[in-house]
Amino acid sequence: MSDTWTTAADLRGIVSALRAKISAEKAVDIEAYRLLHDENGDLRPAADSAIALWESGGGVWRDHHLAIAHHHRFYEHPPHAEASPRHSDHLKHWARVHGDDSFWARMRSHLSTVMGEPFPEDVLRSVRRRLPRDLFAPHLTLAEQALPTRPDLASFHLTEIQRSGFPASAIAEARKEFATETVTAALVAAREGRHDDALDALRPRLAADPDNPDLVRSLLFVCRKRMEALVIEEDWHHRSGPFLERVTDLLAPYRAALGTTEAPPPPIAAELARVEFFLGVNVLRTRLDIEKPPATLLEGAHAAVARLRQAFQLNPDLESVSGIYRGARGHLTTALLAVAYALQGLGQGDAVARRYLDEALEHRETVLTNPDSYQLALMVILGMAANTRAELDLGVAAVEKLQDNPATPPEIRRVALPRMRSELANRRMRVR
Amino acid sequence: MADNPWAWQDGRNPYTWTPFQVLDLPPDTAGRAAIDARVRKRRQRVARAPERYSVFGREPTVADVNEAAEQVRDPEARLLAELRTHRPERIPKGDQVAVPPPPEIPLPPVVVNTDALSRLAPPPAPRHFERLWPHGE
Repeated sequence: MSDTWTTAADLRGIVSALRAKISAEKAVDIEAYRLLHDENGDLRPAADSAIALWESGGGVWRDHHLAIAHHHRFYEHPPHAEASPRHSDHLKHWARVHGDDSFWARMRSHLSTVMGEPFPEDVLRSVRRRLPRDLFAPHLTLAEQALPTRPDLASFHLTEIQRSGFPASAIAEARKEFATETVTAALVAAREGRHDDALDALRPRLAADPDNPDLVRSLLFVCRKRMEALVIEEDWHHRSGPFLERVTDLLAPYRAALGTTEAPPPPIAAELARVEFFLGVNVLRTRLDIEKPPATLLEGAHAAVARLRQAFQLNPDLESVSGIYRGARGHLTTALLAVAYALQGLGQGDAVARRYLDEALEHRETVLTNPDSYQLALMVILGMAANTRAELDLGVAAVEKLQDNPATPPEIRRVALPRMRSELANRRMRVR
Repeated sequence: MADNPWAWQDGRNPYTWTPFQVLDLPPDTAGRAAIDARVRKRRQRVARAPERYSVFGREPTVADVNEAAEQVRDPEARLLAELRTHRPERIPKGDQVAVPPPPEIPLPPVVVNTDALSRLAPPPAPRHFERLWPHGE
């Protein structure tokens, strides 16, 4: 048999397969459409049997049929009518229709035919463009209604929007709309010094949409404004506890959603860095007491380290933001050295403590500039079984700093410092 | 810009009060004349006996009919209505097989075929007659 004979046979096979497929799809469409009619012959927007059939197959209008049927169900049985709302993907098929150019081309063709003149392209484009917003609108309305008494329901509606499958830009716009009024209200309250009122305003919406970028940013802004005003006072860390606890609670879902690898967008990162700084310094000031048992000290120090490390990760130039943040590196080195000291107190070996000491010593100058840091450094170094040369050098420098520091008590100056100098010198001789 | 038909208004379902439903107008009705004719008929029916033409439990008024008629004529409103309406799925013309009516088969004319008939008749057989009277008297 020659090639031409084989090709012709193939073509016939393809054509008949295609005819069979089209016929099969058409058969599904016709039967499903028939099933939409009730016993009186009236057309209904949805029927279980029709939905099941279209979900198994059908022609080019299939997604549109399913979009209507599923969305009709949303209006027939809205979530607040049920005991516990389940995610139902009411908008999934609409998202497909919206994104399908061929659907809109077919619709235009049909409309041109029935209206007897070419259907205006700009009207088609405009309706297509507004479709996501139109379909999101009932969810936003119902979320607003549910906020005061049913935050779980409000959350359901925001999640339906996020899971809808519509373009990210449309979803972002809807979430922005959800946040806008509250963000404004929180801003006004913060400017008037009513920071707790601002948090009250943000709380319900954050519960419904915890990682809403505008709400999170507003929360961080309120926190930062409060703290920047507060830190000029000497005992600020004693007065900021409850406020910072509220902020931490409100921020927790966002942090959890972010995970450890994802970086927040730049506007949020900059604000979050500042808030992490305040949270870290607050822990440092309130829970870092070397008189406390090592286990307690360790917990506090670890928490401070986590916050301050995070602050620098989010904004490596944190210290240059303003004078308030200038001591950030010093706080971090103090916290790291406090961890090392606590670990030694718990009987951990040199290797474990050294990890934190080394990280602190990456900023040697900062350690030596900061009294808390160089005192802790000295104790940690002397608390080790054996030291490196660099550690001993730092120990010596720290002793000199203490010597020069007018705040050093006389008995320390007289007794302890000479002992430390001598101990460091002995250890120096042992290092090869 | 037309209102959002999907906006939440308690009790309103955008899929059970479309202009096509209010007018009882198939969306593939083509041409201004055909649409206008249906609108006129519907208006008359609704004016006379609205209870007979309820749409998912709601009785349309003449005002509803007029509004629906405007909507199917306005491009934006029409498109928004079409989006909420299932495309009619009918058997396509190409796949339809027209079954012709049985042909008029005329009855054949009655023709007498004498040869055939005569063959059917028994052959003439000589017959014997009883003489009823004496011969020559």
